Amino acid sequence: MTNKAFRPTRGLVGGLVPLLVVILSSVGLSACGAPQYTYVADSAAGTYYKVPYGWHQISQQSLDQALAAAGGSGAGIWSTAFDAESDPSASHFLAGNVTEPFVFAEVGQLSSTVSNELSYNMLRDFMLPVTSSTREQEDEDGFPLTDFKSLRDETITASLGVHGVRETFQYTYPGGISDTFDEDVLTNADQTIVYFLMVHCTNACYAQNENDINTIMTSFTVGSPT
Amino acid sequence: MKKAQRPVQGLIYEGGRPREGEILTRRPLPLWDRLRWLLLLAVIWLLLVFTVMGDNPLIGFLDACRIEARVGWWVFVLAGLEVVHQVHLLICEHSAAYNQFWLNKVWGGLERTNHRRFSDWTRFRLGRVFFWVLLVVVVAIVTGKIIHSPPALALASLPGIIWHEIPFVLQIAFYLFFVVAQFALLFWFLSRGGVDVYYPDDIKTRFSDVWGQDHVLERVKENIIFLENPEVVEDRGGYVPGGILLWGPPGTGKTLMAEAVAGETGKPYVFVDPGAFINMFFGVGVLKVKGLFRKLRKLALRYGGVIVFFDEADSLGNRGMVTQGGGAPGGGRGTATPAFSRAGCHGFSYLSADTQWMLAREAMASGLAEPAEPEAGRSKQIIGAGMNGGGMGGGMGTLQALLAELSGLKKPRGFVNRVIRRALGMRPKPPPKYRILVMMATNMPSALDEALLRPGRIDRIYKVGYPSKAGRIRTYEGYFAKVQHELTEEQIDKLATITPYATGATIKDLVNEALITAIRDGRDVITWPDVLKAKQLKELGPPEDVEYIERERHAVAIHEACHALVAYRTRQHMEIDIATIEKGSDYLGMVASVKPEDQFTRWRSEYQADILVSLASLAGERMFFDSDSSSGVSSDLEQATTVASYMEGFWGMGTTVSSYSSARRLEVGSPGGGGRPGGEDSSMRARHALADRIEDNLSSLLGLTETILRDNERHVLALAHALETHKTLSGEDVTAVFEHQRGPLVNGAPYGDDEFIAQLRAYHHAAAHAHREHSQPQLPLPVAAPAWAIGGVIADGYGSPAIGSSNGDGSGSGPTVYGQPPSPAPSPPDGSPDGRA
Repeated sequence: MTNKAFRPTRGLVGGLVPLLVVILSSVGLSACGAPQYTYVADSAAGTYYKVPYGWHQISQQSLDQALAAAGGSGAGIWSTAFDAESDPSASHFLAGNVTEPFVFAEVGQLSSTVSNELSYNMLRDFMLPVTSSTREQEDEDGFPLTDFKSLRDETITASLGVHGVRETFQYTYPGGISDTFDEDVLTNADQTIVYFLMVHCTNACYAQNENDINTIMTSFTVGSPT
Repeated sequence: MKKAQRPVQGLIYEGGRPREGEILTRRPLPLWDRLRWLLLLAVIWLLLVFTVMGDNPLIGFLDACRIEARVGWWVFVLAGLEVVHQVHLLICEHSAAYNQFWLNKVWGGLERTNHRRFSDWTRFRLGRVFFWVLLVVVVAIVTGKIIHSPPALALASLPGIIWHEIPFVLQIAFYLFFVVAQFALLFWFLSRGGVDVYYPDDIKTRFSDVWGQDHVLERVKENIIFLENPEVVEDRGGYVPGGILLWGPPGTGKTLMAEAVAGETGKPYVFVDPGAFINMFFGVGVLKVKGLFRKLRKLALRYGGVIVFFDEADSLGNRGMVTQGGGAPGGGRGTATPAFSRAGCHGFSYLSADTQWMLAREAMASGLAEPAEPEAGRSKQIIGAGMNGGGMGGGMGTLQALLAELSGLKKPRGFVNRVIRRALGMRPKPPPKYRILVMMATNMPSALDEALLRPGRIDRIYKVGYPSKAGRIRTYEGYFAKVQHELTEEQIDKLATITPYATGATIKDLVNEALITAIRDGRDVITWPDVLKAKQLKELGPPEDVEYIERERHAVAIHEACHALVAYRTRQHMEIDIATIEKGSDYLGMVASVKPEDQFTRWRSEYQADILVSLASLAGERMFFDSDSSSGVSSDLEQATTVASYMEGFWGMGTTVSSYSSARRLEVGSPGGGGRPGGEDSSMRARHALADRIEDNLSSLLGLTETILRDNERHVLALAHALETHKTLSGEDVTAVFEHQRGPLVNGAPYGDDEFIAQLRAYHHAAAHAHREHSQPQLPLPVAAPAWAIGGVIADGYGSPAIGSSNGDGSGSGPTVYGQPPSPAPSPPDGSPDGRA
């Protein structure tokens, strides 16, 4: 004879428990796969973006070397880079004939002089010459890339006074291979920090990965999602 | 299933929990208990997921889940373990063999190994270590999560973090200090004190230091065996008595005995001050009790046992009459109601239970106790003092807390034991057997709560009474061994005899007083007279130094001499201890007697002798003062009447047999009352009849006393003279006067001389005349001849030849120069010559 005293009461808790189990199980199972994106964050500067999960991050050391080779300085700058190549390399940073998208992002402090003079055109020319006057100037100085073609020139205004530009353009490398560059260049309301994100690869590659590249570029967030 | 063969009234209870041993499988777990840990882990994991989402605004829920699935793998590990655990429990619930295997082989084996390898104390310490390690690990993980670093690194940086946060913490602490800390500190301070711990080497007292209580000591020693080797009893299915109550009059060595127990065993000895549980605020007493027992448990584990001694346990109080209950007769366990306290030779044990109960109830209802024996006054303060004593100390839950601690639930203790083991599905370990011997001492056992005295709390109750004569001798020997003295064994024996209710404390005091007396006289060695002097000082107090006028002094001396003579002639069961006419605080003079041996029964002849002694003063005053008498006999008559009443009405020592006590209560009248039962008339007649019989008895005894006094008139005059001369005489001196011998103070030889007696008689007549005339006696107090003059022998002060020569008729060898001629008496002008001066 079963003693009913031993049976637990099936009340509200008893009814909710199976439901909870089902929900948590489904969530748990869905979590079994790999994430869709790799999420990148500079928490201190409040800068975020994401890249497809399969893309590989370039080691900080290689990236710093590549930056130094390109004439930049990594000191006091937060920088990351991702390469969609199966054999990722920091040398793809500004190299031509990059057949898979290469992502580069950095956050840097502006000097007070630059900060005072900062304009949208300066932001456009932050990495490569985009405005006509700068391009002419650079041509005279022997800038190797030619056949500039602007595909997109948008200004961006985000919350908290963050503003900047998104530039998409093509350049042809000396070997005749043309690359498409996509840049987000933002600055904060005080214009003391510049937030930079760039993706580039060959034109064919860009056309092929336009959706992914567009997702990356639009995910670029400063302070809060744009 | 047919259960009831007979008609049953009311509902039948068919449930009931089977005993633990009858259930072979594990009790089924409620669903909530099955899932709660999994749910908790799920909640933790969700929190982690939300933390990831919070860290990066771009991350969606699913991606956060996927990311956290990689980072927070340990949650899944724990969940997996919990699932395995639950599967294990599920099998335990359904398979008896599996369950028994785990219970007996695995956990049981572990437990046995544990017990075999580690002592209780070691396991206690290991438990503490495990607890602290667990705590550190949890802190490390939590800190690691907060500061986003590995747990080990977080632990290393924890001191730095704490150091960094100290100003903030101090600030908060500062705010809290005035709000909380003052109360906490107040209670903490209040709950301190009153409990002293003595470690084994601190106590030097041994059983050999306890004198005169050998019978109790033997019983108490038994408890040492139990404390040292409890397996003696436990292996045979018994249990070790955990509590002893020592009760008895003050100064009988209860505390000393408890101390000796601690000294002999080498266990710590915790002394609880009588005032320890008197508290100002509600709860402090409870805190103290809990703190005390926490300390006791720890000491018991550490040293394998502990003794706690509650001195003056009556200060713990009781909860009043309700809890004391009627109880079964004979259940008083040494603190019985009056009905059982003086139950003669058999107590009530020979009666049937119903009769016992009826008698007990009536005894309590009527409040009538069998009368205390007049001479046993000093021992009557213990039993039957009522049950509403105490209650002043403790209170506010302290006593209840103590009761619960003494025999509360044997609950599992410790965080690991109660929480961790239970969480892992293991039963909490029962607490180890703490060897705590509770000893209590009180001189008011009736003031203790009945619940405190029940077996299981206080298992044994020993009376530490007044020491027997042998015990007193041993105690005197012990204390005299510490000082220089000249006492012989016979004198110590005598001293023990004349101090019947002496306790260890009073004996120590007496010896000390004797030493002081000797030192006052410029000596280092105690002599017999020092002891007697000290005894008189202790018993009578210092004299008031009031001088009677001569005729009154003589009257008082005659009064006391009559008492002493009749006592000497008739009271064989007692010896005269002291006779004095020195005025005290509440008496003019006195004759005190002591029992020469420990006697526990009283007889009719003895009571009769007591009455004769009491009536001697009245008879003597009437005889010696021409039928005049003083009011000083009032207390004597009161005593005589009381004893006579009890003899007649209670003890069956009169002309009738029935008990007046019962007759009055049951309204059945009294023999000789003549009336029918009931009604005021019969009661009145009964009382008249009883009073008449008492008066008749007293009158006849008064006549007998007069006869004795008339036959011994010269001895009365002799003792009165000795009293007037020396004021205070010891029993030996009184005997010396009556027997014409040499006493410690008085030489009784002259009182055997008729001529000297004639002088005394003449002096008496002069004093009696002065009494009538309210004038000065015409004759001075005669002076006995010095000892050396008697028999012409130069005695050494105590020489026996002097005694031998005084044969009562004054015809000893040598000149008989007793006293001085009446008229030319060279007595001092103050009229109080001292023959030995």
